[in-house]
Amino acid sequence: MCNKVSGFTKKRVTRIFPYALLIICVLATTGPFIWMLASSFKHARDISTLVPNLLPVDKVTGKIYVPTMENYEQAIEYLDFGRMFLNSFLITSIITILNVLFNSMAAFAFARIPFRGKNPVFYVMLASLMLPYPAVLVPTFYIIKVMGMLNSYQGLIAPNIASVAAMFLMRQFFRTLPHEIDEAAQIDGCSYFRIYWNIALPMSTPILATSAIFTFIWHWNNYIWPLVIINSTKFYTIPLGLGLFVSGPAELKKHMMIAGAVLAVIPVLIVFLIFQRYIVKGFVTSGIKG
Amino acid sequence: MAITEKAKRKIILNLTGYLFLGPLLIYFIVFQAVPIFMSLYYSFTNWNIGQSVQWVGLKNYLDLFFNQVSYPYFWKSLGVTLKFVLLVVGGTVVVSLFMAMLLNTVKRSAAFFRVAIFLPYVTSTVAVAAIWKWLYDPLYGLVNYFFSLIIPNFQNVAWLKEEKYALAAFAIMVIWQVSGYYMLIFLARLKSIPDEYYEAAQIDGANIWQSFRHITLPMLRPATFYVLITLFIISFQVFDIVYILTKGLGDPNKSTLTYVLELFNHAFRYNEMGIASAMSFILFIILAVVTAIQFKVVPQDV
Repeated sequence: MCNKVSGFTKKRVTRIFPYALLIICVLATTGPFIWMLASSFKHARDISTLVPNLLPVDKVTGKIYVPTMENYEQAIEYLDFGRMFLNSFLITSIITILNVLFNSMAAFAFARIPFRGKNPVFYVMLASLMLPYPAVLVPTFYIIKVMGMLNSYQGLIAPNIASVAAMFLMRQFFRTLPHEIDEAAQIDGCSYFRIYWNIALPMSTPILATSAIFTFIWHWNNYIWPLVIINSTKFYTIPLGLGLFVSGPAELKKHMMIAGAVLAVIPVLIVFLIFQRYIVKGFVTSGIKG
Repeated sequence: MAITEKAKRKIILNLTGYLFLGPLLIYFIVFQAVPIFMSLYYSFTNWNIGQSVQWVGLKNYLDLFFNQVSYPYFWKSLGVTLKFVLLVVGGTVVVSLFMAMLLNTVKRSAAFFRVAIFLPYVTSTVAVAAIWKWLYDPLYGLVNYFFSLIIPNFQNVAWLKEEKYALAAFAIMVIWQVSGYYMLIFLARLKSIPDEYYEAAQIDGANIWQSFRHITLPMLRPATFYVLITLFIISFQVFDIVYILTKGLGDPNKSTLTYVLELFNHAFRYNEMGIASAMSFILFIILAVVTAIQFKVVPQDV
């Protein structure tokens, strides 16, 4: 009897134990976000407390009050967040559309069209995957400067219009499409355009979606490139703007930094939660291949 | 001149091929191929923006390696970066593998846990910096608060301002940000290990540790190798978070002055493009060697 009970509880414990540990992990990863969100709704003077409190409590009276939006209002006004949001949205959207188009076109060429010089070009591009970004940062800056695109939308977009890594992933996918579809094209080269547009693209929407989401999130978050070529706040993106609160002239405005961080995270969070299925799957398939 | 039907088709195929490839090819030439050769060329010059370029041979490289007076932080930044790489690679592998193994044992709410743990990975580094600046706050930060709960008479620490802790504090931020991604990679691999292996081991009387040591670890090897190399490469290039939180200085006392931060400073703070180009090319060589090891060891499916 006694044995039976302890066996039963032991089994339950071993079943619950991983959940308990996972909840701790989840608290570690999401806790800081919740803490930021909670702090963002407090009055500036109530944010810093010796004992942490998720609720907005007045420091003087000790009473809980209705969450305030004043930090958001101040942050938006101070930084012209609306403008930065539009900049980020515009640039990231254009980059994403161009990437999906150009990468899929090239991937299609490599996967399906037998043209001269295909293999050498492909292997040179493959080798470029090992180029670290900072190693080409200085010359890329110079090229953009020579082209007269410092401090401009074109300058933010131009060096990011395509990606060899993303093209490589799409090519892997296009190669798995049935071969019958391009037998028709053997007769007439022009119909490759039709195959690409009417067959290959519709058949690969999941991989295109995954790639688009990656690209969007990656460039939405990009910091170093705008930092290098932009110095007028007119062209500031969200990460650059938020940077001003973290270590720029507005460093001491902690309440605005917290609200700004929440504002910066929300768009990516929405994209992530809507498309999380694609993302989680896409990251894994792309990762394992490497 | 009569062009045969076959030759005509070939021309059309080539044209079509390059038409499809065109935009990416132009991008590739202008923003990948040309820049890396420019890095190489300018690394042999005393190039500063706005001045004429003079060939100086190996001077930049020799100065970086041996001239401790003019370039005191080259070796320092390499050392800082290697220390940082060790912390991030070690920490991330342990944390992400641990979380993957936990997730592999549960069925209910697995999707929720995956998403929640992955969340920091899609957050921008600037937002991560903002979040952690607040968590590390010397007076009101949660980190100090938790330590004060565990350790009696705990004295608050300014984590980002003390030479002893700053680099590790940065490593923790990066581990926090990226572990979810590597967790997913480990998880995908763990799922592919057949249950029969563990059942057989259990029948043979193996305990949990022995199963882990003799089944899980060997089966994970390709994934582990990929994770190690990728982590090495990304953590070697750390820049954003250190730049933002130290205003590009790598303080306290240059203890967080990473290689790319030093490269960036030479290029855009001191206007020494020649030196920055040499550092770019050295970085390229270091990471090319590491990547070559990966291509050599892990079979590639091209």
